Amino acid sequence: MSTGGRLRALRERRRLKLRCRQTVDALELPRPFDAFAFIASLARTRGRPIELIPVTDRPHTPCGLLVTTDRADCILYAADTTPLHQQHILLHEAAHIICGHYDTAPSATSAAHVLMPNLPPALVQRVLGRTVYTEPQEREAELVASLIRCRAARDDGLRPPALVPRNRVESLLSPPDGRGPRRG
Amino acid sequence: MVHAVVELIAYVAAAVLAGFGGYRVLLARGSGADPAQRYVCGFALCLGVSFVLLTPATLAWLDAVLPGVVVELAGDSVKTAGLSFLALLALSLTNETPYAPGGVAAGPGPDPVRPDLRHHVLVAIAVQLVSAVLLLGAEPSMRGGSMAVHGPAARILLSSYDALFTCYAIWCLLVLTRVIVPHMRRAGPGPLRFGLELTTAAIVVGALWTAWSLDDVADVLAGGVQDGGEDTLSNVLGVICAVLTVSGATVTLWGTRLATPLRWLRAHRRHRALEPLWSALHAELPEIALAPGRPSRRLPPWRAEFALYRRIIEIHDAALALRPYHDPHVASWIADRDPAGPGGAVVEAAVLAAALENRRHGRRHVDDPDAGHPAPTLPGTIDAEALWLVQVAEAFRASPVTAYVRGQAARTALTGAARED
Repeated sequence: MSTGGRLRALRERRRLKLRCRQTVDALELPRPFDAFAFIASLARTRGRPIELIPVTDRPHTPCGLLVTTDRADCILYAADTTPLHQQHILLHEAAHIICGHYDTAPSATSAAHVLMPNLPPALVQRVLGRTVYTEPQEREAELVASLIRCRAARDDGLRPPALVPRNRVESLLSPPDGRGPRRG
Repeated sequence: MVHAVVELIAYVAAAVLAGFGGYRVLLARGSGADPAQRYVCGFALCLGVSFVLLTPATLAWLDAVLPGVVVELAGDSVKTAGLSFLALLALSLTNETPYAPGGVAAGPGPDPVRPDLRHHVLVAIAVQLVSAVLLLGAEPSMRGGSMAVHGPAARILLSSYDALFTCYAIWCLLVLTRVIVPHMRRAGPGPLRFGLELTTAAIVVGALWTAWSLDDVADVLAGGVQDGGEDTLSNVLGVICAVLTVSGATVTLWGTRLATPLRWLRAHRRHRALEPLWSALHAELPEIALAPGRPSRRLPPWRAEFALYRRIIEIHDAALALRPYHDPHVASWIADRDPAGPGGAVVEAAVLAAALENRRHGRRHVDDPDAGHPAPTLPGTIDAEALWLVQVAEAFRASPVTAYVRGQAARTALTGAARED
């Protein structure tokens, strides 16, 4: 790649990161964080159900898949991996919904047929699979999912309730602006 | 040389206590301030002054100006006053209910000028007066930094003076322990609990420091002589006690400021520890990486947490992508080598190493029912998975079991390929 091409790619990556950060900053995350609760609240906000379907032992299909029908969004996710990885796959597919991605990849469509054989193809409006990050939509969804989980970990680590003194013993150990019991 | 260093540290500790006491004075000025702040402040300032007065260098320097016994009495009196402030602090907090998770937060207790507080002020004054009578009654003389008395009556008076201080100090520390420990046990994890733990540690060291003065009782009864001021061990214990006290009382100030850089540092270390495993997987499966190309060698600290998270996810993605290459023989190869049996980080590392070898040689085991490998049961946190994967990465890099399995997988793949040819 030429220097100009590299600079353009770098600028594009920076723009994408900034856009994703702004998207994630605007989200309300449950505390302590739970990916299932987050997706449930996303469904409530959109007024459209999101069904979560665990899938195991499917080495030839993407580990996550978003299938949109006229009635609901279905997220198929690999359940035979670690809990954090499962959460991340769920967040990746939820990120497609948050970002409003719509382009359907043919490979993802065939995977959807394998995993949901009873679903008539005519009802399927969109299929997105978590595969490789050369696709701009996949890269954006992956980045948004990663930023959501990192922000959630940071927020959970702050533990503000434990810093608020709840009696005079704790208020003696707290910063002067800690809102604890005072005398006088 | 050691004495000089310890004395210097004692002066520094006195300065720290004075600074801490001054800070507490500022906090105690407001009309709504908790009176307990004044007791904390009084304790810190008194302990700081006693450090200065009872350090042998100060005693030697004041020897020309004041009688040694007077300086000794002044230092001990100030230290006893510090202990009285500690007891007043504990008594003023005795009605505070420890926080119970899910329970109702405790409100302020009754008026701090309670009868038991007034009684204790009288006890503190009585201890001071009796101490002065006992010491002056013994008529000690200072000789080369030591205090000497003559006659059995004088020995009893001076040893009673030491014993009174020790008993009073232990009683004050016990009263404080009874208040602090229940709060510490009920506090949830976090800086407040850490502060209470440091305070409890300070009380334990304070008790040891106090108990050390019992050697003076024995020395006086046996030979009529005791060390003037604080000896080296006393100074060391006193300094540790002061550091723990100030650290415990200010932990919420520095604890929260330190938390973020410490988190970055931990993430940076774990990111580096995952490098061998991630690199091996990335070399075979470059599509797992979100960022194209090789990662930069210099990772800024503020990006370490995100980079660590990406590395964890990319390793798991690679593990999923390698499932068709999981070798059904790994369990039997490990059974020969690993007496602990399957389920650990070594097994996970061996499974990945064999799968990588199989992928390099194009050997899939997707239709073999024994080739599967269950995911480990972990809490769904970045911390837990990072810790687990660091162990896997270490086993992947250095375990002889992994090296053996890797070799076996490569040999089997080569033998299989030769047979097919």
